[in-house]
Amino acid sequence: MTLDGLDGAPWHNNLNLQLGQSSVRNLFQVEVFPKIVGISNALVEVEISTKEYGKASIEAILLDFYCGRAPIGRGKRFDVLTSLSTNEERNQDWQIFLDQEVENDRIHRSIKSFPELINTNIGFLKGEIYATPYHGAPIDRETLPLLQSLIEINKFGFISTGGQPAVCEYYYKSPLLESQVDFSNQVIAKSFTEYPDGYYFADEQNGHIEGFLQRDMAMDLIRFVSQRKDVNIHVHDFKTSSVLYTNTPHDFYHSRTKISKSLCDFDSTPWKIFVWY
Amino acid sequence: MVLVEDGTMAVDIPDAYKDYPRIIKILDDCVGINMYTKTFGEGSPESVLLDFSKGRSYLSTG
Repeated sequence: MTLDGLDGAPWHNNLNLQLGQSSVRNLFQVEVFPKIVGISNALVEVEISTKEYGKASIEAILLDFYCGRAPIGRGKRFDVLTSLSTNEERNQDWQIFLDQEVENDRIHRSIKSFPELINTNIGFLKGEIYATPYHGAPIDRETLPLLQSLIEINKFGFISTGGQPAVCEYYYKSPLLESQVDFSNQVIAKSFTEYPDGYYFADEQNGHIEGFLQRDMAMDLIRFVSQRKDVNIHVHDFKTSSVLYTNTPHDFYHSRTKISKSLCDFDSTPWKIFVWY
Repeated sequence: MVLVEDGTMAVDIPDAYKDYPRIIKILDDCVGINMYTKTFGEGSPESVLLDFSKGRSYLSTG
């Protein structure tokens, strides 16, 4: 079977999808772990992962249910409608998605100035605009607590395009509590595959924001931030990508996780670190 | 797109906007900012930017 967009693509253990709500309900019957990460009026953004490392591919599973087109979106999402929903539901979902894509494209092509770009980004944060070219779906759930601050920051002239909240999570997951486990969380689901008897998990992350600022304000921001002891900043020229200023150590990492089979092993288990680039 | 270590995709903004040359032209006059808190689970870069935006008197005196 030839599949537009996915055909010939690398095979992954997880994918981001946007599905009609009825399709998501049906997705729970498929041999994958779905995690709902965003909901709009018509579409649900879902991360799905296979249940065992290296033993299946989501694409192969979706191919079995596939009917229709599967274009790769401009953002970081794949957009697939499964054949599990009825033709009528699928066509309605698909048409709504296409209408949103056309409208998003029209909005972004009409932008002529920096203030218009800011207003569009604020519209996206408020949910008035479905997606942006840099984020092909509504905002992530973790962004909600930051929303008011982000809108104010954008009004000030900083176009925010990404980041993460500063949070730390530590927990133990037991298979004895399996019925209470949220298997829609793909991290938990994957971990139970590797640690069927339960596991200890830690996830620590720094706060991060990335975005754009007009050049004439950047030096003031650098001066301001250089007096702060709680944050690092990295500034680059958009046009040339050259680094204009940084006090961020080369080996800086924004997140780290560790997982161990027992509490005895926890301290000696090495952290897995994550960097942005 | 840039693949980071956890397998997720960090968005390459110039690539994301490549179909929108007017937006690229607007951003050509901008700098890209990445700001991080230094301690896991503490602080927020958003609050730093809010302090900066409200502290415009700092700009006039600094």
